[in-house]
Amino acid sequence: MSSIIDSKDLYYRNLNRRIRVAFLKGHREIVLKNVLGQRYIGGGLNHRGRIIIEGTPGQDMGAFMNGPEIIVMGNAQDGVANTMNAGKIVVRGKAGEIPGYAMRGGQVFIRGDVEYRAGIHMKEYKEQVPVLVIGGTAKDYCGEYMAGGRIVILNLGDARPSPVGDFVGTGIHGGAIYVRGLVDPAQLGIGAVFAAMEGDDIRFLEEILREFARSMDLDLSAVDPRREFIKITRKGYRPFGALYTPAMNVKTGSPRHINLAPPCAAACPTGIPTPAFINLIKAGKEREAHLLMDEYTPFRMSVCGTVCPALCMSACNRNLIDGPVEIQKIAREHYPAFPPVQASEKRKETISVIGAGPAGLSAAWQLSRRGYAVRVYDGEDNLGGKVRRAIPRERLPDAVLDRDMERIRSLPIAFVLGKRVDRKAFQRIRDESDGVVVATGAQRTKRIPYPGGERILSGLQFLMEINDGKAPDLTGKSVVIIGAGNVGMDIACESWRLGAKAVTAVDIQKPLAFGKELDLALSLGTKLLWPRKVAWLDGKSVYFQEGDRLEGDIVFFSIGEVPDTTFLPDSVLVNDRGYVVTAENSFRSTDPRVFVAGDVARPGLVTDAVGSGRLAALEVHGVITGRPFQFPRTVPVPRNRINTVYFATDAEGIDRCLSCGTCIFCDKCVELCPQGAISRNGEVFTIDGDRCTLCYTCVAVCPRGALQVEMMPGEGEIEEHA
Amino acid sequence: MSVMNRNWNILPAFYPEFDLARCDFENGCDICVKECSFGEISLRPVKGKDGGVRHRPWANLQSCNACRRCEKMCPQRAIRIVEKPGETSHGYWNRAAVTNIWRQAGREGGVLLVGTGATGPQKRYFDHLMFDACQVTNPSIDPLREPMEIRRYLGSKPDRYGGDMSPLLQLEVPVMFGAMSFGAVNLRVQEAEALATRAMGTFWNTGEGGFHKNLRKFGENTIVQVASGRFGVSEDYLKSAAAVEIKIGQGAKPGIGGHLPGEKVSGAVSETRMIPLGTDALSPAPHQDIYSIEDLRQLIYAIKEATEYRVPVSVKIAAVHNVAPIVSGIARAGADIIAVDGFRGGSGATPLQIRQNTGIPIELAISSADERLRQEGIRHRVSLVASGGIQSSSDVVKAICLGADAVYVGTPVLIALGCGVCQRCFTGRCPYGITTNRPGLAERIDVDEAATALKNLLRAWGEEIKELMGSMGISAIEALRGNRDRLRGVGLNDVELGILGVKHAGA
Repeated sequence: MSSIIDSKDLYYRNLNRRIRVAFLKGHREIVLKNVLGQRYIGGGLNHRGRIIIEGTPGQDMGAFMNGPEIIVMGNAQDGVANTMNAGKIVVRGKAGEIPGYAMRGGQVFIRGDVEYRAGIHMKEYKEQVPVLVIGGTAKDYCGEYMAGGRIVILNLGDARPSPVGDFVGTGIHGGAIYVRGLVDPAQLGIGAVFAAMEGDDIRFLEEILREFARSMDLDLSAVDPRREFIKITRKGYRPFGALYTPAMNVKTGSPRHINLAPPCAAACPTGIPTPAFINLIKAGKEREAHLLMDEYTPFRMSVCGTVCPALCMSACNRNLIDGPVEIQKIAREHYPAFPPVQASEKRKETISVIGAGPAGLSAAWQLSRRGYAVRVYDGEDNLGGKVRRAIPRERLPDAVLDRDMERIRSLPIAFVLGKRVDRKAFQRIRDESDGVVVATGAQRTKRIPYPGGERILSGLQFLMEINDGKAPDLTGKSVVIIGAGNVGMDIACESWRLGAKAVTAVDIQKPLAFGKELDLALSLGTKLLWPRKVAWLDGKSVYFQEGDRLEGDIVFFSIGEVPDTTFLPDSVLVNDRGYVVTAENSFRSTDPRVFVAGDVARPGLVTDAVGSGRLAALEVHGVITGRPFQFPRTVPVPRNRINTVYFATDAEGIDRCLSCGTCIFCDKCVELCPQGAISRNGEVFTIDGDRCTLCYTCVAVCPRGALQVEMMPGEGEIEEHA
Repeated sequence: MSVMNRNWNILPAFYPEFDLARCDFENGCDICVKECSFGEISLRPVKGKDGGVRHRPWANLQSCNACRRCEKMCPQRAIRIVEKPGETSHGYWNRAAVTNIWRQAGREGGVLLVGTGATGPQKRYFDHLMFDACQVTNPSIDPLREPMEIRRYLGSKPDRYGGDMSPLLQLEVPVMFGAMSFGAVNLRVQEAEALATRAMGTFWNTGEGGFHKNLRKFGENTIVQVASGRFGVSEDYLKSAAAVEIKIGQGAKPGIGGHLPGEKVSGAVSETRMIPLGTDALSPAPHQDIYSIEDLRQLIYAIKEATEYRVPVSVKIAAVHNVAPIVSGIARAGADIIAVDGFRGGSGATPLQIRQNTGIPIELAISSADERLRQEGIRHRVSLVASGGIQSSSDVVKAICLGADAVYVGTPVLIALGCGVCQRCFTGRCPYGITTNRPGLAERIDVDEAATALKNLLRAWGEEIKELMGSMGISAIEALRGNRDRLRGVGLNDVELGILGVKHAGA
């Protein structure tokens, strides 16, 4: 049933009432003749059917419309489809401003051009997606504040330079605008970006082009949706989100589980993560625990378990409760019963290591485990360098050292022993290898040319000779040691053992000796004398600048050693103190193929040498594999983040470890979160941001400081404990 | 590590103080920590009396703004909110002045955002207006035994007796609940508003966030809003309510659009507003189809056409300098009701500088608008609704004496539900569960209890209004509208008295 309404001179209220009545009477097609400026045609109608308008309708045509179809045979004015919810509007001519303002659904097809602010505030939800198609061009602010929907600008008249004006998509946070033709980036509004056309976009355009062509009786087969359109969409969800700052304190950080370094690992030059090791042992994963340790050191028994001054234990947070975890004892008691595991895939590169001391063997161990062909050169016949030769047998019996050496030897490392590498040999080794690690240590005793000082002996030489079985007899001799460090203490102890009647160690400053070496030397009767500067010597005594003197039949220098670098080529720079030059936090020398580890670059403890050997190996590995080497920066978990109150004092052995900074899934955070926002699945914690109030109880109650807060700039830090 | 980061550290002005002698943490009580939605209180492990581990509450000194949720919820009354004497030594550059600058200098962003209405020192004219009362020469009325009429009809009245009546809103109490959108508040709050207004015979306003399907059954007591963002506006939305209100502006932020922060755009809000999840809901200042009174008329009649002239159309504006001619224009544009919102009006999210410095007091605005309409002989064509800082029933009556037909209240609704006016509505973390949709927080509103509280408030104000009328010897509130003779000014100058149309006390 169709109805014809002659609209000539009809007031809009009467016209619209007649349309409503016609629909209520069951008409499904209403033809309006002689329309001239009547507003709100179709406004708020929710009927099914079609209105055909002959003439020019007034403003807000189809406002709040919710169902019918309107076909305008001429032009339309402003506000076409204002807040329309469903239905279809086809305008065969042009339209004015804000067509499709806040459209929520349905389709609007306009054959010609439109004016300013087309399709602003369009919205969508799930399948309800409004579409505005403009056959011609649009002006400024097209798609402003769009939250959804699609705008298509077909530019059928091929307008140049662009079919849209400026500020396209200002504030857009949903939906998309498709423009056929050119859009300069300067035409985009805040928050709008160009986006790539994808399959869904092409399919949408193909379909909408077909419908548009059918509605307008056009042939659009020449328009290629694949190549001719530019897509404009949102840059982000919140185009103006960063504009605001709360005018009061509102937290914005977020808590996260981040394992920080335990203090033992941070203090250890080799970086051994003892809590991780202990946690694996506790979990019954003995093998994994040892594989983890093999990542750090092959000297578990000799260094960690025996000669190391155990900086780890000094740093141990258990000192806050009842003394350190006995890490040294644990290292001895938990020793792997299986050989080290080499990477299943062999590498073709050959790395040579000069020096079979702690640094060299540490580097060789790491490289061999990673599958490199490794050759180790040393002038001595055995492995261990100074560890074997300079540390008294009482402190490090060969049997102990050999347990580590046995494991090292079980790797396919080629040892070339008993022949010192000279300059010529080094050049050959360098040329044959893909990398060379120089770990020859510091062998030459530092000397100061005191008058009469020619009779001063090398302390290091003395210790080595003892270990070589060539101990001199010191019975009844008085011994003076210049330099009261730990090596000085070793010399003192050996002197007592060899019969000395008096042993004195002098130093220009407070003696650096500490730990077991110092305790043992003092218990034997060693005297420490400082500050004393040696002035001169005669055959019996040492005279000091301070004016006094000391009887000394035998005098040792023990003020450190300098490397012997005479075998290195000129391409390896050595500084004026005798050490090989490297960049900071690097082990690479000035010769790109030559790396250094241990005392040859920086003097230190045995554990320093082991650590530098490992890191030098990692740097070699990084250079060869092209992955840049990162010098590890271990930030220890702050001591005040350890909640000692949770830890029982009656624990024994490995159970005493607090596992500082290392989550052991105790679930205190899960249990105590006031909002129940934290859950754990296996080793993965989830913090529900919708529930978390950022009270940081989880951070505060973590017994071991394994939760951190990521702060926004300007926010306070976590308060220290009461 | 930043060198200057700590220069911008701002300790909050308030903090909770725990009386550990009263606190029940030894028995595991952690109610305050659970209740604080701003993360101000955390737990810290301590050794208990028996040597075991306990967790005591701990003030983080990071984010308190005195909402007093913890204080109220503590069963032991062991918490007090303390104001930190954090003033500077400088009399002019006080805490607010310096901390605002630190907040802007110390991090990216910049426009300072707050919730609720203006807090500034501007004069509250209501406090300078005193009611008349009957003594000897004219009898007062005892509201306990005489019938008192406080019913109001809002809408356009005919030019002459017997003319065609436009649709009207019938209010049994001259107080309506102002626009607070779904999103700004949650559905529980809106449902409580709807239940209370249905029970008390008045109206609540959906705000611009749409009309949720679950609440449409309350349509007869609902005013729906159309704002520039047109959130939730459709044909059935317009037809679902007793009246439609076009929002041009609001008192907390005249000339500034609505801005629901993305934090508050949850699933249901996203659905009702038809915008993506988590985006900011942007309602810019101007309606892009309204640039003149004529354009406004076009929208008013678009709505009237869509609703077939069955419901009154209201236009809400902020009280600004030339409010009187604007109100006149709106009346001539065909509005049935005009709501004028003073600068004290509330808001969920407003730029601080706008809130504190833009607009004018409602007392002056409503008086001058009423006077202008009377002078032009069109007062009967529209009803005036006053809002923005109404704190009590006496404010309601004073507003009516100054020319209002009824009032909107918003902040009193929130306070009636427990709100501690901590000004952080925009964070979506309201500890009273009012301006939030977060799980665990919204549940803090019980719809029935909240509805009862709002009914209690309306009933109490209604009774107080009757008492005030009785003392003035007036039995029908209609007789009070614009009745400035019942008011006298105290401490006001001639200009103020002139605008208010009120004589000074004693005159």
